[in-house]
Amino acid sequence: MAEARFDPGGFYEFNLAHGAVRTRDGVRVLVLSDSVVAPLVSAAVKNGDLTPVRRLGRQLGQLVESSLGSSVRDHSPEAVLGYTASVLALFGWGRLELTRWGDALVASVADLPELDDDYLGIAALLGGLFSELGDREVACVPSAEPGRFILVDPAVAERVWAWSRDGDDLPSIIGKLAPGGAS
Amino acid sequence: MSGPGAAKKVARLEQLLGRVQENRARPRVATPDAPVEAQPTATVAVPDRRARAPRPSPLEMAVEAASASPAVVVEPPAPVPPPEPATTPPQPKPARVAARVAAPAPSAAETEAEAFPNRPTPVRIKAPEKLAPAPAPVEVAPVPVKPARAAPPSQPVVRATGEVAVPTVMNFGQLLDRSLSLRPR
Repeated sequence: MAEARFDPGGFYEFNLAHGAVRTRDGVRVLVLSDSVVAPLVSAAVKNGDLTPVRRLGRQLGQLVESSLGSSVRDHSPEAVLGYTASVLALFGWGRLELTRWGDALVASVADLPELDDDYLGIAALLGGLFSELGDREVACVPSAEPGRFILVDPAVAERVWAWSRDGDDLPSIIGKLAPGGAS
Repeated sequence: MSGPGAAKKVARLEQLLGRVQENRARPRVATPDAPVEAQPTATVAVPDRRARAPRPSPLEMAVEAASASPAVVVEPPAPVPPPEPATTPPQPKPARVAARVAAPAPSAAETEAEAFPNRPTPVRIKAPEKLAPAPAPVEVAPVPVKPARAAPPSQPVVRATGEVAVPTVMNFGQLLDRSLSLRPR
């Protein structure tokens, strides 16, 4: 399938006169070091509100949508992954991969910034991102393996999260899930 | 599952899903069913903190901080008026400072060169050479290209690592829907 590639050229516009950095969609962004963002995310986790991080994920999803040009859902997984990984990389959130375990989609992020111990910050970001791309609410639950997140319906996220916290590895968690099974 | 551990997990999951935002809209002290209060340890800590400090908003904190030291803010204009040009040292402009910082071989090398005119000063030359061959766009390009390059036309990037093979014709929406349709057995 011939898919258009993501073009990173001119993604950022640096306006030195106004001291502003914008994406090519006009979204103003700030360039921060991870050592600054990490405590902010940790504080958000402790205070129980990761909504801003999730909102950032949605904004990244909108950038992917605008780059792809039409409904993301109708594109091939490869194209969506390519564009999404590119946008994530341009914002410095690491290298995204998608893996399919049976019916389950697992997002893996390598080289991600260290924000909080439980990876809840990046999980919230990915949740917002895939919710935007999928036009429905998506929960990305951190697995016991660092940097891996299972994409599930928010209705079952609690159970999956409990299994993960109990130490179940990815295969055993997925083994406990079935398509359309009783919730 | 029960106990403080489970409650903590639920609370964290709520954060993950962004549900806490809805809870935040309500007054926190009056929400006994809020996920944070479900856990015994956190219940003590969070309400106490709020009871002590009645939720200062960032704006309030900023105002408080400003009002706490009004003298400092007001005073500067008064002593400033007669700045004698002769006594005040010439302040370098930001651009000049930056230029000085950016200069690879500072004063030490310069003085050394003056003292020993025959001695070569390779530092000055080397620094720009090292910096020059790495243009910024090159660093940006490889990262986003990787996923696309790793995907040959027939082989999808989304790999099947489980027992079930990936169906060939499936768009992203269908793939996502399948994952979201999973329920505990």
